Amino acid sequence: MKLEVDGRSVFGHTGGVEWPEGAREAVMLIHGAGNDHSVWRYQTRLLAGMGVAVVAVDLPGHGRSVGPALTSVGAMGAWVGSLLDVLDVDRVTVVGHSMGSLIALAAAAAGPERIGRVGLIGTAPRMAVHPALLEAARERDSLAVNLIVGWSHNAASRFGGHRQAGMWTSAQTRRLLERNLDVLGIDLSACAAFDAEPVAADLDVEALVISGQRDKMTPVKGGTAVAKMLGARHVVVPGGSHVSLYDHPEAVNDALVEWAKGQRVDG
Amino acid sequence: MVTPDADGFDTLAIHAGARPDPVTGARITPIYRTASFVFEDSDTAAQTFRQARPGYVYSRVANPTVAVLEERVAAMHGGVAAIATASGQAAVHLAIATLMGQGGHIVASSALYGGTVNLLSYTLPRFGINTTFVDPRDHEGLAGAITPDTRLVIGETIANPVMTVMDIPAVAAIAQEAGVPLLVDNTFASPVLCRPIDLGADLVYESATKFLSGNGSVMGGVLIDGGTFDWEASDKFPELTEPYVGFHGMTFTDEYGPAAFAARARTEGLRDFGGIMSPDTAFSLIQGCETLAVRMPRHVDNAQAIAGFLADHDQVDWVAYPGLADHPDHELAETLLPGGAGAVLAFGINGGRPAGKAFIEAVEVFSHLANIGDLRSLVIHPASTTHQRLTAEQLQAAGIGEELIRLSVGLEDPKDLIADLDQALRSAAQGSAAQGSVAPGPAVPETG
Repeated sequence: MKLEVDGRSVFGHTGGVEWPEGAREAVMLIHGAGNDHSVWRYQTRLLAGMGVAVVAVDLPGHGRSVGPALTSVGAMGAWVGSLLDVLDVDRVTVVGHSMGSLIALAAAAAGPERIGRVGLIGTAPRMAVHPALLEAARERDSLAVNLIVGWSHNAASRFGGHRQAGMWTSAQTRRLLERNLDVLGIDLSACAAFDAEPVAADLDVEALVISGQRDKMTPVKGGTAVAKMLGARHVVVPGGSHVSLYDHPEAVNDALVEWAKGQRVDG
Repeated sequence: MVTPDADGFDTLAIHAGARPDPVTGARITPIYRTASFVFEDSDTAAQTFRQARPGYVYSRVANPTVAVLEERVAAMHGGVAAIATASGQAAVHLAIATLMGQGGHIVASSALYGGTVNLLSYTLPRFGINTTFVDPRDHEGLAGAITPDTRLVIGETIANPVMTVMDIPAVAAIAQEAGVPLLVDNTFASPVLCRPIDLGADLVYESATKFLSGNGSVMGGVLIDGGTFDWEASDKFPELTEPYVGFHGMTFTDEYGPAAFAARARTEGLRDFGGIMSPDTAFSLIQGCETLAVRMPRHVDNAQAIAGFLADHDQVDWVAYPGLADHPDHELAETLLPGGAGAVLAFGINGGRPAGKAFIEAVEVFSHLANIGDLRSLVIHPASTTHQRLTAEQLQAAGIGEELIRLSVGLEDPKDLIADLDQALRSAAQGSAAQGSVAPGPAVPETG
């Protein structure tokens, strides 16, 4: 669906169903740096099929949302608040991947009355960005894409073996980054500048943290630290990478669904 | 200096898509010879059916053995996804049928495999899809042939049978400017010698029967989605950008982003047309992929040696091989095909059709059959076999003369191949001189 936030067009994918008119509760999915809503293909469709009002948004300047891109995680968190105003919902679970996890925290800090739960996938208190990657991204150099693809898919997912036939997810990550190369440097700069610890310290939200066992971008220890700050459940996806949400979607979805049901999930 | 973590082509050709079997630990991908797959429970079944959960439902749409091949070929080509089909023809049909219906228009290179020419010239017009053929070297002509109804530009990396090399970057730029994708048949090159997506193509298909197999034992095709074409930016592809009533109202660009084309092709095309590959075939092709990077350089070396031999032979009028300096596309081939110009070449035998027939009947190591890309060396006379249904005008447009003989050079000892050709050429010279003229041989189905 198309929305207008702060005077600019925003795209949100609702899982192949119409946004339920009058919905008071919802789940919002926020992508990471240089990505768009399509990284959530398995979660969006699953949740929508379960009757959940779900929207995977394109951040400003990403995918089909009009720019300019926002330059800080704090600004992105505030933008989520504006988006919630437009959606006119009362209670929201915000699930974010990588940079999106930081945005989820920032949004919850800015609007705790509406955001009662956050799901953080591939997260860490500080997302230090390798200087070479940051420089390449700012220069719109394809090296940035190559570095992220390699670090995102290395370890268990490097040779694929996806459960959805024929999908070579390394190249899918590459194409998404290429499509959003103009904003990748902005995103990574925002990530590098954000410190989740003081934000998390003041938060009182129910949280779930999901880490990929072999994530090289945000290793498990980062997820452990964030989970500790929030008193959150921490699920480690066996063999998972930084992009477990579409490399190991079943494990991620099982964790999300179990969490949604309020059942304990041991990491 | 930080460098990306990236697996090389040879590693991907052996490992991509495959993991040890999770149940048995089998290292080699098993042949999952099953029509259907048991669901854990009703919820899982419903979710898998509507693609809310990845998994297998029915082997007409996806099969675990076939999926390994598909993922591997996608990785070898740098594509976001691939679909294995019953043949190369099933692959090109799947691509076309996914992107257009009645009223659709295609701009195609005039240097195409005869079976594809048949499909485009005679079969698809019955379904309201028409094609304009243009010399692939005539870039102005290609651009001028594109109309508001055009949905696809089609060409071949190396075109059968006179080895025309298409300037993929230039043609891709023309297609991109017009807002339509470029589909490339890369059968003659294989991903070892050319990855068209890297050169600007959006979609690629190959007859897997050829070099991917390597031994002529199976029929198959592969269709690769590069994930490069921006379907959303065009208003020409509602099949991908608008809700599909035939599958839960799915809008494929919304759901699958860069892999929208492959998702629609599988969801609709395999389901409805059923041009699937069997798991047994996929198993054979997986073995072929694993040795492709080793085989292709030897194919090229042998072809280059034979092309040189033929060029100097007094019974040979001309040789068409882009690896030779006098081929019109030699410089282009050196740029686009740095690993070599393939292993298929054509030559004109002195003495025309009678000499050609005598030559083919005299070869002993080369096999006279309609195929290419075998580890065995192969020979055929296109005017009477693969291209027999083409009109005289189409033959002329494709540059095929009656004296043309096509070789697919295999992996035998090049000394033996050259000796075989030499004795057959000398035999042909003697035979044609004695016979005068010979009637055309029997027709065989278009293939190869």
